[in-house]
Amino acid sequence: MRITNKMMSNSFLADMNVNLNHMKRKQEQLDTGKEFKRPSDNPFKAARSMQIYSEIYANEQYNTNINHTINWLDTTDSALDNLGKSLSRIRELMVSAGNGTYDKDELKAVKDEISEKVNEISQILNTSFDGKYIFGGTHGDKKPTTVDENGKLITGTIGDNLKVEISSGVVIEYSVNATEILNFKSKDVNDNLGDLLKDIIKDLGEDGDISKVNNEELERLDSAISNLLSVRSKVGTFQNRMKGAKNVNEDQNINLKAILSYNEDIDWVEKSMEMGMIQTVYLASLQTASKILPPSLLDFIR
Amino acid sequence: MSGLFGTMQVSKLGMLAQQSALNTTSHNMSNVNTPGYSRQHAILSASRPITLAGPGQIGTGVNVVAITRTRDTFLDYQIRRESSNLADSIAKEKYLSEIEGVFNEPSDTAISKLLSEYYDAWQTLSLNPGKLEARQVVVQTAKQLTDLLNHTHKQLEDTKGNLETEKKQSVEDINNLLDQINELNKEIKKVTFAGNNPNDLLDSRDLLLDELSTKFGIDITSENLNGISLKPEGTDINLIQDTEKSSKYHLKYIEGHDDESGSYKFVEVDNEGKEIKEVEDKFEPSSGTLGGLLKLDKEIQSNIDNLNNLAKTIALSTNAIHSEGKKVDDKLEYNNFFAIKDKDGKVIDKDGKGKNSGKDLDAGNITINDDLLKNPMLLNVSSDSTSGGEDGNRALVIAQLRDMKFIIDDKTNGVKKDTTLEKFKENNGYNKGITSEGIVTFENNKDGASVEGYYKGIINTLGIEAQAAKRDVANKQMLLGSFIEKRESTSGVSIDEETINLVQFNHAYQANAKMISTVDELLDVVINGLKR
Repeated sequence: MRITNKMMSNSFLADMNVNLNHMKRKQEQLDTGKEFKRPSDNPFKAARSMQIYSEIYANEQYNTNINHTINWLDTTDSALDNLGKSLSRIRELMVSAGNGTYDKDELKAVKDEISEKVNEISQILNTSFDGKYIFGGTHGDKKPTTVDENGKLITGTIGDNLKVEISSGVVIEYSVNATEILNFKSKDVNDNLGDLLKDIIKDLGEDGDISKVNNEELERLDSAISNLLSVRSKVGTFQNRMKGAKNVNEDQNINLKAILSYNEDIDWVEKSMEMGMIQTVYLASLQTASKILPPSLLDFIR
Repeated sequence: MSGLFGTMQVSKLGMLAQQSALNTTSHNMSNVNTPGYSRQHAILSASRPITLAGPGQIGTGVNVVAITRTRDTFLDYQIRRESSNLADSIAKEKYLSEIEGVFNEPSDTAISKLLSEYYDAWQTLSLNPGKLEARQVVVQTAKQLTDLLNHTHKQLEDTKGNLETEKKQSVEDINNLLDQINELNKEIKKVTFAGNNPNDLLDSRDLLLDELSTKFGIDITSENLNGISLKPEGTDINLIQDTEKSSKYHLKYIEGHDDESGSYKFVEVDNEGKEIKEVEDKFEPSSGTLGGLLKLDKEIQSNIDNLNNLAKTIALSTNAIHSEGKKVDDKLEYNNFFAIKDKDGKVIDKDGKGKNSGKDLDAGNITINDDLLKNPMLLNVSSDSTSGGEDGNRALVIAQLRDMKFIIDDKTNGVKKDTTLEKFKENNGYNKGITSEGIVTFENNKDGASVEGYYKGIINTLGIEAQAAKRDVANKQMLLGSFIEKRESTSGVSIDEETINLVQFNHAYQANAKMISTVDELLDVVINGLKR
């Protein structure tokens, strides 16, 4: 085939361009540390990356949700703990008052302390966390309980339980309502702590029946306490579940990030070697061209 | 002719012939880098011998018969065809890269990230419905999303505008080329008629034809007197001006309007360029830059349509749930979350129960209901009006729309340009998915696509097409390169070769000159020496 100088330089230019294109790609990869910069570099991997990114973002939001719930449940648990202590103290007082050895003044002292305990219980049930009354449910912007002028514990508007999504499609109710704590069953009869405390205080008073304090009302209080314990264990179960969910979520986060890295990050060693090879090819072609292209017959004819 | 004078004549002819050949060689050498130049060489042939009684035929020297150029016309045909194809692919690759740049994925400042943040904001709001800050985050994040959708839409429309401009500008260049080709063709025919070989003019015409072939595919047939007839692909119009007629053909671009895209037509013009008559049929090239540009109309438009569908799905799905009645000051309001920004910047279509709500919404005019921006407490986040200030269940349902699959791409039930809020609800089973708090939501359709999934599909398709276009360009360049190499091999000038020729002709010239001086000596003997 007849070859002209122009063909040699054309072919050199074309190959040089291919080399430079390769070098540009490798340089982009080394600069960003990623396999691809735009979808057309590698459409399949780019689509996969987008998918994984959106999963990671969703997962991080669920993590925030779970943390919020864990904090809420911790607050709930300590409130319930305090409530338990108050009820235990009331029980103690009832037992000691009801055995008949107290005189009028001592009985009055017990009655006053129990009245105070009613206020304390109302306060505990009005615990707030992050601006919401935790026992108010969806009406958590209003106080769940108040004490009226007769010293009776009254419940305000209580809403439904609050919900949280802890992972895709998994929605759980995580709050405890004041009504769950105050309403209980005693011997298959619906009862209310507010009513019970009102009865106890009345029976400790002058026209009350002191015998009831140590019998029926004590039984009713025991039912109330065991109800509280069951609510508390429910909260405890939730806490465990949330801790488990948090672990799962964080593991998933690590896995997703690992898959993402596998998908889009480059292997520095491999890329550096490839870059080195391409550079060698480039330099070799430059050297060869410089030796072959310049000389022609004119240099040798006198 | 006979005798010494005859011999001198032979040598003179020899010198002239070698001189001519040298001239051709120097012409070749000076044009070694001229684009489109094909090497010429002088064809020498022995001139007609005379017949003498006795010795028989006697040679009379050499003649330069013609100076021809070495050119393979079949290669020209192949190169022009491949140039058309390459130009088509280059145009496509250029615009697809531009669209890729507009979307700018993957990145953490682009639409996919904002979409995630949008749904995340609703999640956070569902946990803290009483907090003003959480509501602010929702409306502000949504506003960022709509702003980005507006911006992307505008850039895609701008790309479409660039396409139109390029289509118009190509016409100028093409008409220029056609005029030049016509002029050259006339010159060539004149020169050929006079009996000479118009080599350089032929080279110029070939170069112009090569350039024209990158604009659109052409069919060339040779006519007499080295003329050609030039027909654009798919038509029967001869663009070469007949020397008798005083009109010629130009290309015209007619802009599109409404939904019809622009088209090309050939027109007959007079010598000043004024239009005489338009050719009936549209010119629809399928190769060359023009072919590529015409095909891109559909590409760009489909990307714009997809973006519009995305915006509409996000808007209508949120609006459906948000615009269920909310009691504000004892009155039920049905506020849309996403609204439309009209040409003057006013926000309209804010009422979810309004007639044809959502019909005109697209990515270019989507915005947030400005009543909600001013007063985020108007956001409808709870199950109903009685459920309390800490009820964020409706916000949770909206946040869960992230995983909800909608029918977007279907021909009958998909999201289209004129889909209204009511139609969207109907197509996606609104009222069939009711949550436990009594909040109405959509039914998850397993054949559908989630918002994020649909967007990912758009980018994926774009990436695959852009990659294919790049590969296409690389392949076609290689193919064209190999043809051009062959042409260079046939018609290119080799300096070494010309140098050898130089030496050769130089020696021949010197030899002939020597011959003359020898004859001169002989004549001297005859004239001056024979008789004193």
